[in-house]
Amino acid sequence: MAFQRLYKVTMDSPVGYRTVNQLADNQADLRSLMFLEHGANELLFKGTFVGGANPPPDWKKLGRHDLTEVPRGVARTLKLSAFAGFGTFSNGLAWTGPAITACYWVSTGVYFLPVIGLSRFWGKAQVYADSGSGFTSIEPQVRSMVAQPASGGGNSGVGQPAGLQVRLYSQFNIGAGGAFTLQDWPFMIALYGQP
Amino acid sequence: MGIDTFPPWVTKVRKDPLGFSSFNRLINRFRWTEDLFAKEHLLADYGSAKAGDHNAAEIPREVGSCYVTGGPTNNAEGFRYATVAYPWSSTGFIQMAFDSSVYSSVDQMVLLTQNCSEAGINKPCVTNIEDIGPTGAAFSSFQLTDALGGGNTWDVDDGHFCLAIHSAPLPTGAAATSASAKDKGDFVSDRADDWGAMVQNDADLRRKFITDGVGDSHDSTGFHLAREVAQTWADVYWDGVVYRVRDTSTRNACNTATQLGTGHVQLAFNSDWVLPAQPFVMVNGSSYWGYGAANDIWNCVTPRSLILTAPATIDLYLYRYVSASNWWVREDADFFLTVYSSF
Repeated sequence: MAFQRLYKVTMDSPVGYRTVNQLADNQADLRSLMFLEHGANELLFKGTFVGGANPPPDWKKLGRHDLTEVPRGVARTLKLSAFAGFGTFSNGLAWTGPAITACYWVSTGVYFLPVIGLSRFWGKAQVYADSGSGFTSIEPQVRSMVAQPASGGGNSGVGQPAGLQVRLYSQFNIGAGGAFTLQDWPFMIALYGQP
Repeated sequence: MGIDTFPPWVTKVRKDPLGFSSFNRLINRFRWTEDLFAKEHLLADYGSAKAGDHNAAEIPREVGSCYVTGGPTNNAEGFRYATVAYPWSSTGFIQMAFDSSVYSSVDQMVLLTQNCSEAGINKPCVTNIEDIGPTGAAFSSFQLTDALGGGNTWDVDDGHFCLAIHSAPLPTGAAATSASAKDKGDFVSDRADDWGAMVQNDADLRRKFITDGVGDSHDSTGFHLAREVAQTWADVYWDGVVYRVRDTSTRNACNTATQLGTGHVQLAFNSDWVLPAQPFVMVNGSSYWGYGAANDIWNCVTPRSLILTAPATIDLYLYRYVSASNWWVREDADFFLTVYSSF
């Protein structure tokens, strides 16, 4: 039953069963409207989950938008510098929304952000100056990486989980025309995808 | 498996009593729905933001466009909490000021741009973020000045761009004061915290869902009508001969992707999509023809004049940097895009 406006009561007006049912129908109707694009097709956990199971990604919580149109998560990194090598947790996330929990420095200008719970995913990234002005750079190159085994795969057989690879390049100099080279910068990224 | 915890309701029939447990169940149903809504929406006004606004890090606080008109003059459209800080001062430079009541921590922001320069019809173009400061951000746009196949020299450009601004969620606001729960022997009255409160809360929550204090945020069927939620998306790939739409939104679907020239593709959408548009494109060039080289560099421009046409179409121009030659070519590639609309 569709929404119908209800009325408050006075001391002399009874609340009959039809009126009560209508309020219940209004509530069910609003719930259905919200379910269309807010967590309807995903696990209806309300802060708890079946014992023994891994917690679902945060976007599967009740009320989260579950649209491909909406980013699954965002993150902003600090300017990362060299670490011991791939696999070392960079601790370089300055701020993050749901779904993105780590950013690994792979090599100069190359980063990796693991992604869970999405069968297909993409990323939109933006590099930014950490200070000063006159910053010029081509936009970050983001690739969707499938999981690779430890042997016979990329990364010299090290293996990697699924996630986004981000590559950042040097500033292009106004009027100079030099080649791009990989370079470390802080960046921001939005993750899109489908479960 | 998930559990649906929405309190069920057994339809009352004539002579059924409205007992205290039924009354309290109606209260719980309201609370459940309000909790769902509060997950990613404001329940109350906060600063300049209104009750009903989307309120999550992954949903842009706002999406708009910045563009340059004759004069020249810097302009912005579609923003609620960001404004052009200064008039045009130098080619390609624009500074935006942020409403501090909504953007209280510039460190907890993500800004994303999509270049929409008219020069993108012929050359790659890019918009950079120069600085994010306490009160706003500065942007600079550039275009390649060498001919395609000629070099990698760039210069400033009074280009247009789309901008999405993500920020930390604001305090949600207080939940509605619910009706007072009833015990055995209680009866319904005309007190403000009784049946009247339940009716009022029901209407208020519906109002917050349908409108966000500025305009509609969801339509009567539950679909988003807000500027900050994209109206469509498409996953498009180049098979070597034609472009194909691998997948797209169920609403405002991308019907066709037509190659109009090498690296120039036009997307056509359902005509009920509201213009003008703010597209954001993610190029996935590495999936085409085994371009697995880690040093592929791509650029995509969606010229402003070609995203404001009706019926709803968007033109993309794709460019690839040839590292061995240090120049650019226009080339076809796979991509994913989302498109926002102004309402």
